[in-house]
Amino acid sequence: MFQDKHDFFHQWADFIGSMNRPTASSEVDNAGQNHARPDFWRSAEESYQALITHYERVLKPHSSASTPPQLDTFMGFDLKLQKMAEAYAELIIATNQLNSLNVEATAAAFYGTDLSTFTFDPTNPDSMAKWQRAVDESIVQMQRSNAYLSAKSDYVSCLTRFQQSYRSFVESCQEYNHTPTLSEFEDLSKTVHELKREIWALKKQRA
Amino acid sequence: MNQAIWEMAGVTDYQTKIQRGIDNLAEITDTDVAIGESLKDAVFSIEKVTLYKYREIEQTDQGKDSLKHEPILIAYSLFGRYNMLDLQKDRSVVQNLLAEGHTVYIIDWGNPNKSDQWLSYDDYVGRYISDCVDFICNAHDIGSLTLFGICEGGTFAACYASLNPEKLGALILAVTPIDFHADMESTEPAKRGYLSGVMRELGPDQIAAMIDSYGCLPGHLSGAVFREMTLLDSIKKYGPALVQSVSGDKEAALNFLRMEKWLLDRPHHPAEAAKQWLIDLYHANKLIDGTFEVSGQSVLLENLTMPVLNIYARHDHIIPPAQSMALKNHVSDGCEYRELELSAGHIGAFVSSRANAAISDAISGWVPELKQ
Repeated sequence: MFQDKHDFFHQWADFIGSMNRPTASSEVDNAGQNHARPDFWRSAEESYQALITHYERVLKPHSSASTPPQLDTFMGFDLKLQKMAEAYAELIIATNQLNSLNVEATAAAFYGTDLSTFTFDPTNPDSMAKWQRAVDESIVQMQRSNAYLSAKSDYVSCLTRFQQSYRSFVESCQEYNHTPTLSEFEDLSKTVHELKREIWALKKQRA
Repeated sequence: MNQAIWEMAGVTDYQTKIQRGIDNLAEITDTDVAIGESLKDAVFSIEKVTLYKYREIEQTDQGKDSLKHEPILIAYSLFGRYNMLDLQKDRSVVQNLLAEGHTVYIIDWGNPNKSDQWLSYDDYVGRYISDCVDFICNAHDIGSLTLFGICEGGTFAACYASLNPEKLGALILAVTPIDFHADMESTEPAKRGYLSGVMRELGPDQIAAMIDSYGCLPGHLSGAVFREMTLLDSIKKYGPALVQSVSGDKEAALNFLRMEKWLLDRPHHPAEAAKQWLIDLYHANKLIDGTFEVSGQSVLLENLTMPVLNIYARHDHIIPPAQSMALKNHVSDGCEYRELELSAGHIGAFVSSRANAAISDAISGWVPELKQ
């Protein structure tokens, strides 16, 4: 499941799905280009907030003060699964934040362009290239902004937490099923690696 | 919609192109999309690393006596495959060098997996490159060769050159970051590197935890980051531009597919080496202040006493030219140092016909003659 989240096409499916995320004021907006947003952005913002609330309600049921006693009912599987689900919800939110900045940068390219001098003709490659240049420049600028770097940092933290919780869940399943875990395998591979280095050094000494 | 409107919107032409593209793809087989076709032989291996020697274009019977110039050893990055240097016969740096009569070796780093996560610069520079250099020198009974490193392979090469200057007659670097923070001063956003910006934002513990959570830096993750750097192009390439790319003649479609094949074959990067790359170099810029260590020895760029050819690409969106050009301020005073600027991007430097020929000519002229 998680592997797919890194697949480019899946990421873009997420991206397209989140395109209704409205713009918030940011460094990407050109100063002085304070255009009024159409109403549909406002309704989209409400929908988006509802979606995030939904994620939090469904996937993070125990995050409030009403945390139930942590019983080892299912050998810890349930708690680890819950942690993984929470991490996944956070990852989705962090991904959406990044995607929203991409959409915002694309929109900023339009807001920052004087449309009266812009002739858009989809059959004319020059016209398309001009539009693409404007969007490219806006995205490059956005990707260097503090807002993007901060969102990227959040994304990396969420991605790491999800990977860690996923691994922890899988490792408990492995332990109860008498199969080696990745952590045990890592111990072994580290030992083998150190032995390879020692043998290499000994061969060099003898040569 | 009537026929006139369809034609006006170019829809009919577009449909014809789609059909031609489908015909091309139906005809082309995976074996047609062959890359790295120049003939070569595996001559040495250590663990998963293989050293190949390319066959001369016209085999001679004169053996090692025919060697007039130092052999060239090529080290590519761990983020892609070495066959970028030999993508297809008419766009091959390797072929160009062979045609000039050079003896060319290349390192294939293999397919690292999670069991290789402990491999670090100590292994890549201190053992693998070191053993390849020793093997080639012994095979030809020579004392030095020319090391040509590309991107991360260039950083490996610079480290090796610093620690073993006597073993290199010349050093050639292409699109290689040396001062990972040199782009920070630029006021133009496009001249500030994407990756360097992100890595400076993240904390060392954050980067290490991310890499450890995977047990490596997965190829699909680094591939996604590279696509993100040119977001709109990546969308276009598999969207509207796809029809254009595959609907030309068969050779044009093959050119596109060869590049795609190379891009999709992205190996995992071993975890420890990835931490050094992203934390010690990208984040902390240790190569510049002399605190970066390989096998317990400090890598000092002032030890680069051999002739250095530094090639960078003006439109490189991955390694901003400033990060490469900084090297000239750090090599030894007496070092013969030359730069070559290509009007290309990071990958275009090797696959565009013009840039590729310029690289080959410059390298060919830089490789020292063997001392008799």
